[in-house]
Amino acid sequence: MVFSSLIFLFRFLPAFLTIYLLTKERYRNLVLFLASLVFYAWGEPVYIGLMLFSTVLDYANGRVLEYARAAGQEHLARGILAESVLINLSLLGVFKYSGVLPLPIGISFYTFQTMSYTIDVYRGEVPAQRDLAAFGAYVSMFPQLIAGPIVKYKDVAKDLENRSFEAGEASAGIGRFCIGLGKKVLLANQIGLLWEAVQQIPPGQMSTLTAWAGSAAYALQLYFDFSGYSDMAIGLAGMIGFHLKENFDYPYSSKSITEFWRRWHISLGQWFRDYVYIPLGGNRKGILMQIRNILIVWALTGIWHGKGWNFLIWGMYFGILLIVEKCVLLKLLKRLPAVFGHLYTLTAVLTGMTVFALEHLGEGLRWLAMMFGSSGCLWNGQSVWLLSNYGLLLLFCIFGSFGFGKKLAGYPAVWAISLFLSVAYIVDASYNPFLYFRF
Amino acid sequence: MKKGRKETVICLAFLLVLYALWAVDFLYPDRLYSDWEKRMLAQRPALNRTDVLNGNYGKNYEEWLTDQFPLRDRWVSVKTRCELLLQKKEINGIYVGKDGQLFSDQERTADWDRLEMQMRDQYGAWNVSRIRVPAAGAVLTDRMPCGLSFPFVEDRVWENLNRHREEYIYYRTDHHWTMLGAYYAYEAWAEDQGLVPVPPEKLERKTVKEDFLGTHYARLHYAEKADAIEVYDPGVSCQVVYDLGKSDLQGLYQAELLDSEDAYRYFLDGNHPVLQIETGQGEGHLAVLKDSFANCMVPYLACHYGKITVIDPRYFRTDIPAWLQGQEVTKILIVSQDTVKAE
Repeated sequence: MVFSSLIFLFRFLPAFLTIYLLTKERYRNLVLFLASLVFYAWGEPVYIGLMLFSTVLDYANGRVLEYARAAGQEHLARGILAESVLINLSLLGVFKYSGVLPLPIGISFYTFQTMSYTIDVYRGEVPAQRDLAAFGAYVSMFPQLIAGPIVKYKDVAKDLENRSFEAGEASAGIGRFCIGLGKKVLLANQIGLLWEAVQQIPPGQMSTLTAWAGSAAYALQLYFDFSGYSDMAIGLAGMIGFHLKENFDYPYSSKSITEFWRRWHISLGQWFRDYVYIPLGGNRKGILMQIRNILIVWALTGIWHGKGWNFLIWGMYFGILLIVEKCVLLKLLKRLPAVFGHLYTLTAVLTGMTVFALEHLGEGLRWLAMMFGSSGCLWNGQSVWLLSNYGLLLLFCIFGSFGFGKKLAGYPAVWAISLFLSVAYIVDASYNPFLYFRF
Repeated sequence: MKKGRKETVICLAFLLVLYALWAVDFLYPDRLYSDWEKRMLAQRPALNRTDVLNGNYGKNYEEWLTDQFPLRDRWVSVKTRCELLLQKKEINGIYVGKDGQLFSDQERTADWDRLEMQMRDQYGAWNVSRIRVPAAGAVLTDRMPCGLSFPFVEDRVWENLNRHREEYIYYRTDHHWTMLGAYYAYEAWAEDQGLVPVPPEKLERKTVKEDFLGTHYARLHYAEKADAIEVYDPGVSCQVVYDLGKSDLQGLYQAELLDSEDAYRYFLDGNHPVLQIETGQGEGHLAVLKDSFANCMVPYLACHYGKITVIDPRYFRTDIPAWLQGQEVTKILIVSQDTVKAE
């Protein structure tokens, strides 16, 4: 099930909220767990087994780990940790990278969550969860199940044990959800049409302006889609008393790539920092080791996003940029006016996004060449037509992504409008006059 | 304290809205067919184990829910208005032009070129003529949105339509031309054929519908101005046999369809595989191979031939050249929309 569907909005959500609120507090984790399973199984019942397996396994791992630590059996603890990480990574490897089986929804997210759990228990940062329903609720929590944010166990451990309904938090959550829905349906999906239109233009007719508009549209689609999903997740979790951390912080307003990655998909960056970069030694072992660590983290970040070579290259591209910034560029950017930082960051990000978007490298390179003038034509009738159609939306999206509309998102009237228009757009998307209607 | 109350109200209002739509949806009767979309709508799926396990039940359930969502047309209209506010000119495949004029691409309706070849082989090139109906956007170029144009061929039909571009020759909310547009095409064609076209002053003009909303409207549920269906009747009384007598419809105009969602069917009852018309006007037997654009042109053609056979190759399942052989046809006219896309 996806959030931006009628079935979620007008069946699942009201039914879930009602049952949840009518249930006694100590059974609410169970309700959340079961509801999440229904949510997950709706489109793809087969993989429910996989998630249950993952849940039960890491629940058991946590318990054994805690026992081993209490009993001082360091070897056992290490063995369990290794087994947990190995199994989670194998699941990811088999289902995501082998290409034989269809990708189970959300597997990249929940395997990372269960790994964070066993690692944290191993490190003694959190006690193991004794209640299977509570642990199941954590792993399968439907608000963040399909598109993150990646919630570390220690961040919600308290909420899992003890949370209550609070009208203030719930209403803020409702607002957050409505805004997120609007970002996904009204902005991301619509600006995505521009990217789609640009992609259909034969390379010979592409002007530089069109290529840039296309890349910008893609970057904005990605941002509003992803951050809209995160907003909806944070909002839904807020409605039932969970406090999830922010996942996006207006990344396109950054003045360097280093800053960009502190603001884009924050939960993934932190995951890799906590569980890969710092354990590898981080920046404590000299600049050469630090460079190695950065490259490892970014190769992994790239691969995490998908199995194509373009993702690895995309990750390495950012890794290298970060190293260059660390060594020289950041100092230089600090001395220049802020506008240079913005321009450099946006150019570098758009270039990177293009590699991310196009699965075939040749295509990506050709596209980049077009962005940097290979067509020999700055603009043409096509770019005028596209911009007259999407120009205003493009402007709104750009302003929005820089955080200019931030204040608007606080007004309940805006929430209501966002929800209302989103429903209209969702209904229209399903409105398909019969193909032959024209005859 | 007051702040807390406001937030409780928001929570309740949100739940209430979700429930209200659920309730309306529940009470709203399911429909089998959508007149605007011209398709069957999804129905409530049956619950069974296989479908639930392979995920089909979930998919079908969602389809059913969206297809039967209450007031779908209204929601679409809200979206269209929102898009117009954003200055979008292409919405759901419709181009929004100036003065309320809507445009759309014209798809290929049948293999007209091949048909023309076959007819030329069978009846000789001089007995076969063709009218290619230009897209509205190829004639009303000044009403097209900026940066967009339709390719076209400057033939006599286009020239004559272009000469009368200021008149009401294409509907705004429908992809067809008006009966007046069809007249100008007929005029050009008749002169080409050495016939004397019925002069405009001989046509009896009447407006049969003033609030016509056509196929363009169906996609947007928005129209700046509704259309009028105007008839320019040359006054030939015809005997029309629909579908070789399988249908008991009569006459060239079907007034009872004016109130349907597809009022263009007023002309010849839309698209029938075959119509046989006896006009009592002179000699000759004309076969018209056509798509829906010819429906409002046939009354003019009736002034020149004793018999007219109208065939829609998309619905006529028999081999057309073979079938025509037994019909003693003397002339062939092919009327079809030009296949064009805006660029």
